[in-house]
Amino acid sequence: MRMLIHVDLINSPDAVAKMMLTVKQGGLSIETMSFNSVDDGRKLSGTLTLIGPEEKGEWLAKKLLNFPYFHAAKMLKLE
Amino acid sequence: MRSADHLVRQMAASGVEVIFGIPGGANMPFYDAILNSDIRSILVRHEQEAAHAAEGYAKIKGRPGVCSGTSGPGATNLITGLVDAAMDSVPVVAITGQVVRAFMGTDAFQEADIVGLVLPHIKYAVTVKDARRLSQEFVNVYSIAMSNRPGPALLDIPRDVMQEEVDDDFAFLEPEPYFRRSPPEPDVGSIMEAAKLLAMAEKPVILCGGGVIYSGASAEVLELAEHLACPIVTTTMGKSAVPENHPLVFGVVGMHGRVEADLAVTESDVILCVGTRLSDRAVGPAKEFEKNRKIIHVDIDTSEFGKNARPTIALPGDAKHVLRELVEYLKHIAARKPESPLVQRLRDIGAAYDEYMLSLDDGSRLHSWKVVSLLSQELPPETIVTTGVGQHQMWAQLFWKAKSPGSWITSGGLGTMGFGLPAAFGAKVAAPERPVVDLDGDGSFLMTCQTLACVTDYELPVVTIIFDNRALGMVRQWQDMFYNKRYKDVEYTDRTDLVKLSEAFGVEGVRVESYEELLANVKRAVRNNQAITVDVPVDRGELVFPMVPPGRWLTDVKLPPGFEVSERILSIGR
Repeated sequence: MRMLIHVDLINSPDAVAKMMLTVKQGGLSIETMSFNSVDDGRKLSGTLTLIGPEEKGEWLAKKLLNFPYFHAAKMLKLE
Repeated sequence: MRSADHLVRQMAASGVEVIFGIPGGANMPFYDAILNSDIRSILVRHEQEAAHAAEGYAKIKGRPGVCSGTSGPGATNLITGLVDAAMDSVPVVAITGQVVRAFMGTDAFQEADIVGLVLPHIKYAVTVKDARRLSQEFVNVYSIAMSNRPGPALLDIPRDVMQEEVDDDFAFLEPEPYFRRSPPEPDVGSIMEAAKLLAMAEKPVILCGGGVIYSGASAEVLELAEHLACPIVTTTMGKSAVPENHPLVFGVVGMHGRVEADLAVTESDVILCVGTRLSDRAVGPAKEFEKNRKIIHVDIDTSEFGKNARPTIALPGDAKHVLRELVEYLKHIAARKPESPLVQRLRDIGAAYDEYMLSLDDGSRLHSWKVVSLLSQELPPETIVTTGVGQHQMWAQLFWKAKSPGSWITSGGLGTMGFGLPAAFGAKVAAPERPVVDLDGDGSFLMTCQTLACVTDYELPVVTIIFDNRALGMVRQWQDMFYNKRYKDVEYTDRTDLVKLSEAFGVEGVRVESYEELLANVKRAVRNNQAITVDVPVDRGELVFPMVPPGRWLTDVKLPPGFEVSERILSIGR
């Protein structure tokens, strides 16, 4: 299924890399993604459209919150 | 003062007492600062040892173990230990030196992007480029390693950052907000639902993972099991969460689980899984595990719910907290149950397995299971046991009866050969008054045997028992069972003299030919708090059973040839 993941993270390449590595661990495919800096450049706001099993999307949103790079993560089913 | 001095002061204030590591060009200011502190640095001979020793230390102390390496190879040598810590949820903090900021990204001498290298397997890693942030970043890293589900974290510090002058105002720092997240709150409604499910269950079972040990929930698990009169089984990492001489504890489940423990799982109608990620090695294929039983899953890491097996009821939160509420509610709605026929039959099957295995001893050679069994009977209950990885680890899992919480230290998730001896050394640093015994294989031992140099130098005696079959026994077993006995690169010659090797490091070495000799040497070493390496020759042809073939359900277990329990299994089924 397609799903949207919205994530707030610290503004660092390490945080983005950790995000991608966790997507990889979940075996999810990337359709689109974009990151914008917010909060005077201190944070990033990211939106990813991913394809894969629903439970892996739910796992991803929860897993990211184990790591302090990520301040919020939510998953929304698209279809 | 230099930021390195500020950092070390902060580390001491945070409770760091020991650092395992090796100095080098990039972390020399850090070591220079340690010289002025009360923190004890332990000079290991390879950084992998430092990481495993930090794991052993952390397991005993219940707080992060700290290891250090210089930039480049010093840092990359730590990686195996850090991934091991991630897989087994062990709080470890690594402090690495890095090349100076101006050289970063230029492929400078001994430059490696250690943060990038460890990112997939670490809770948090950061290169600190602002000297004023160094102590705060340490506090963040130290806190995150231990908070909620423990794991490794890494602080990477360019050499010039360590040398930079910072204000010498010292104040004890607290972790920043995102580094001190509270554990998930238990959900009372779900706990009540779970209690009802357990109260109605005919054959409930409790499966303990390593989370029970971290949470300190042993008493709650036992109270719950005694109220329900139900069996307790553990994962490899959960072994020693509850005393294995308790009448309701039936040992480790899984691929090389105790026959009665695996039976308890397959017979269960409700299984309460506490602090476990339900790995394939523990519960087999998730689809089979989910069939015919209700699963209640307690975990502090909510991403574990449904990752491997879908729970009927998920109970987020710290295990001790959740189980306390569960026990209290259960006592309100259900009376204490009498002992079930299932429990008695499991006990009979376990006894029959032990009896059968011990009957195989015809006195002609030493058997691994009997060695473990005798040591388990003879060593003091507070003994800490570590293992390498392989057949000996499985024999230890099957026959060592852990009697005190957290006294079993092994590499479960990553399966890191070479883990046993440095982990034992780290545990001995943490608890010098307790006997520490490394049950090791010759293959595993030879991967980190130089740790014996530390055992001698720091006078921290570890007892090492080597199950010496001159082979990579578990790989050989798989070649035997699944590759038509086509053995390839699994056998060693007998030219490496393990006794002389041990003596070369200053640790007494003996090769024993009988159980009496083995026990006499080990008991003497424990009594006198002396290090010893005991080379125990065992048969290369030994195969560890029970064994569930990979990818198969627990009922497909292969039992030791000649051991028949089908009648007993049938009677449990009835």
